[in-house]
Amino acid sequence: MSLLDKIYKWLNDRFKLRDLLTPIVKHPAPEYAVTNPLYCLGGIAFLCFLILVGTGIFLAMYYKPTPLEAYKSVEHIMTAVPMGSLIRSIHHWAANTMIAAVMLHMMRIYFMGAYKKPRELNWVVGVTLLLITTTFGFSGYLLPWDQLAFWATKIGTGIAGSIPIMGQYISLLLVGGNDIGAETMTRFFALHVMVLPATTAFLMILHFAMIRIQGISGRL
Amino acid sequence: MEDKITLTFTRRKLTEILMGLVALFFAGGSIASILKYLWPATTAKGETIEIKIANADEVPTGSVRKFMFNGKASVLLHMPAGFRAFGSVCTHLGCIAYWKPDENILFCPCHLGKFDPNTGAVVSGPPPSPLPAIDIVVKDGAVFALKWKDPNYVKTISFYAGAA
Amino acid sequence: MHIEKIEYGPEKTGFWSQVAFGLVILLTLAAVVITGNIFWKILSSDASTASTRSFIEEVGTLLAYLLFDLGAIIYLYVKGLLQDEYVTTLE
Repeated sequence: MSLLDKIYKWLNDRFKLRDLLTPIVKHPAPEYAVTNPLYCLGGIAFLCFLILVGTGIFLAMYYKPTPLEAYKSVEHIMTAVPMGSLIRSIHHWAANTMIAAVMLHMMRIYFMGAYKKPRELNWVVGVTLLLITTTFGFSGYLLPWDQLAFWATKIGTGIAGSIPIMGQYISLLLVGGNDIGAETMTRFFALHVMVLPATTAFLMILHFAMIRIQGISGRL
Repeated sequence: MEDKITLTFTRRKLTEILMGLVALFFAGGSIASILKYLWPATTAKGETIEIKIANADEVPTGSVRKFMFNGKASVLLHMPAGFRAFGSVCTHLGCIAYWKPDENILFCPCHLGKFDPNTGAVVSGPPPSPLPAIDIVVKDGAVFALKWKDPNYVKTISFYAGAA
Repeated sequence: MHIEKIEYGPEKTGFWSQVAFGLVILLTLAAVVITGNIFWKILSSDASTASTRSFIEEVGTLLAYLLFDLGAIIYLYVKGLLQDEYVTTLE
């Protein structure tokens, strides 16, 4: 037995890994799904998410979420941290790619009718994930605390504040006060790093579980 | 006849309903407590303290001085007609308007809104209402900002939230 | 582990079960009062008093009262209102 076989046998004897993993790993995919690249879009979004989590963790090690330190810490990451500019750039481009991928994935699902019975709930979860992805982008954009970040957030919270009755309260909760400042930054950082990743992970588990249970929808 | 609709309301059911109501009450209170925790503490700025903007000779005719008034960006202008002060947060979408001497206007770069520097009125562009004026007084060779000329008007502008 | 559907059977009858039921009602009212007390305290306090140790201890004691209150309700419910036959089999 090779080393890998020995390790597998050790785990299998204790955790019945074969019974657990076989249905997950060995599942037939329909031929039209495997050959059409449009079916890859959801997976691309997931891959981008994993990249974002990884690079995000590394960025969070050096980023300092206060108005005084934020921009300097980003500058530090870009210039003085080994491969910092690479990590930040990957984070930036993975974020843009993820948004594009989820939008295209949603369009693919819509035009192929893959939201119909019995997959309606999966569509709902998917749209929720889309909204969370855009919220990710919005909250992360403020963190470098430069002119672009500040004014983009001003516009965004202004839009939220223009909702008729609830608007001013939503705006107050988002901004953490009357003006965008230190409170806003900490709130957005907490959202971006803790609340949204956990919610996304949970919803993704639901999304993938439903797909496994129901299978890929029929061909065009 | 024998077709009676029986409604059994047992003590058990009553207890369960009551417990459910208590649980609902507790849940509602928990949500209210969480909201209280998250709610930002906004300090009401109702004071009318004299804020010194600058010495009069530091702001010659035709020049401006930027200052903060009640947490909002504001501008003091020395026009030929005298000192004027306005909140410089544009009433359109909240960008900061700046003094453009060649056109004799306060100019908002975001969507090209233009304000009259003597009255704060909108000259052109998308802003829906004028810049709010600040009452100022010149004494002991310095210019002081006192209060908004029209606090009720300031309250209606969403970009001046918390300033009046 | 295999759990059968729990069959409650008819309610217990008798004087003591009525007493238990009456006590349950009273305890539920007490629970409402305590819960209302807790949230009134929390929601009407200002930020600085809500961070003091004494405040947190007071809320804690009220929560403890609530917990024991609910425990008593459940105990009286099970002992006083349910029959003894509910079935769970663990195999």
